[in-house]
Amino acid sequence: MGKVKLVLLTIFKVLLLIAIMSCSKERIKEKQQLNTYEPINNYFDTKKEPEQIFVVDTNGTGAIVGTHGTRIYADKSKLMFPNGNDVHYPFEVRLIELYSPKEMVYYQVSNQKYDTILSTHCVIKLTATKNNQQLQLKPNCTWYIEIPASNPSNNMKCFYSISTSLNNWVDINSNYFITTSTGYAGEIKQLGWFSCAKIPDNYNTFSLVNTSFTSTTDDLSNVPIFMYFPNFKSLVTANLGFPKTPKNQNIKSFAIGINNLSELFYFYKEFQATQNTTINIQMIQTTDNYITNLLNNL
Amino acid sequence: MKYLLTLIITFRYVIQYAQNNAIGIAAVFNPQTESFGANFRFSYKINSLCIVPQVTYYPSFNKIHEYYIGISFQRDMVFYKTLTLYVVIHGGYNGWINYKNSAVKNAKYSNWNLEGGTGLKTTHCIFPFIEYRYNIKWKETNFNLGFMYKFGCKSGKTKSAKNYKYGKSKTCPAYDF
Repeated sequence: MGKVKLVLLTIFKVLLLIAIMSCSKERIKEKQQLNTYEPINNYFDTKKEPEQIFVVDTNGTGAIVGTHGTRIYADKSKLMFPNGNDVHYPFEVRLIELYSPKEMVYYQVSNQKYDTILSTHCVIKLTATKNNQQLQLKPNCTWYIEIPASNPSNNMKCFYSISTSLNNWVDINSNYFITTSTGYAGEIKQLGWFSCAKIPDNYNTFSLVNTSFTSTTDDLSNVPIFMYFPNFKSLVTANLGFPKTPKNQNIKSFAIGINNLSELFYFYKEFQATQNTTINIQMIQTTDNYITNLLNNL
Repeated sequence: MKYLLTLIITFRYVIQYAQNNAIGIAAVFNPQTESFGANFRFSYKINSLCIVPQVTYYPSFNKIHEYYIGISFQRDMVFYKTLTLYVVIHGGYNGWINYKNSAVKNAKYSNWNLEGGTGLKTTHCIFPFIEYRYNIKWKETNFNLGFMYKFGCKSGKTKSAKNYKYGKSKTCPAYDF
């Protein structure tokens, strides 16, 4: 019994020494306060492409031409009120043109069809109103439009937005755009938001991985996060959850935030996803000019 | 399941050997979390061991708001006059109530703990004790300073702790007179 006691006491002393030397105050370390941000919408609203309004009051033959060169052949005979009544002159055509990633960022557009990215040439909102009432295209009627493009691709289709958040685009019953010497031409079957886009060529040959974002320094709840795929001309946001990411493709990821003092912050990182990846975001204070230049150079 | 079984066995011995039992209370201080708490314990003997189920609660005014429910196994090691030095191993459940405030990665409410330590006690009917334990999971120590009351204790017949011999008494060494 004496030996047992001696051994136990020795073990106990060693353990006690180890214990005293390895005490930790880890549990009372407070969580690092995250930097918080205000909703970005007010800032983005000041940067958005404005809605262009055209009053159509004659039965002219020319097209309406937007500032970015979108040509719309607004045929009154194909319009109706929601109750089916015919439309008489004058009426208004309203147009928003988003041709660059920067313009799409301010509208927080995500070029994706569910979890598949879309190569997107442009996103357009085309509506018609009379006496502040939204007009519709009559059943089986279309409006002819032309979209400028310096190097048009084949197999571009008209994708319609099925979400007011502009983060999900479908091509059910939609037409292909034909390529012309000046860009694309085609018929749109419904007014509202649509895009000239396609699923990237040979997309089914790409391996896909998941990409997500987190931060140990910033509260990202009011911070929109974007990924731009320059090879596909596709901009996606996290609004709907990011779509699958093709492996080994260049990705430009960025986030924009504004704090309660109206100070701007950003995050930017270029990478290639080689496997499922989580990117840690650390926002840096910046200026409006810097963000504008950043978006211009996507 | 093991925990339930232990409780059942504990209850059986409580009934059978009431004279071996003691009940106590202690103030607890954890210097690492800078927290004060209260400990309630019941002690009884099986052969040469004291088995001590206990509950410790650290109220919400502390930086760490939590409670522990567990069982200690104590074995007396050194006797000097009326003092007994014992070693203790403690295992149990830890409910960390305000874990969300902590920077600890993967902090969660439910945790299992193992502690080892030592204690010093006397051999009176109402006897004080001090205990120092190390928590392996949290790498924290805690001091228990309290007293216990022995059931069936004959006052006025105190004898030295070293006169106790394991296996010849049905009471905990420190409780013998």
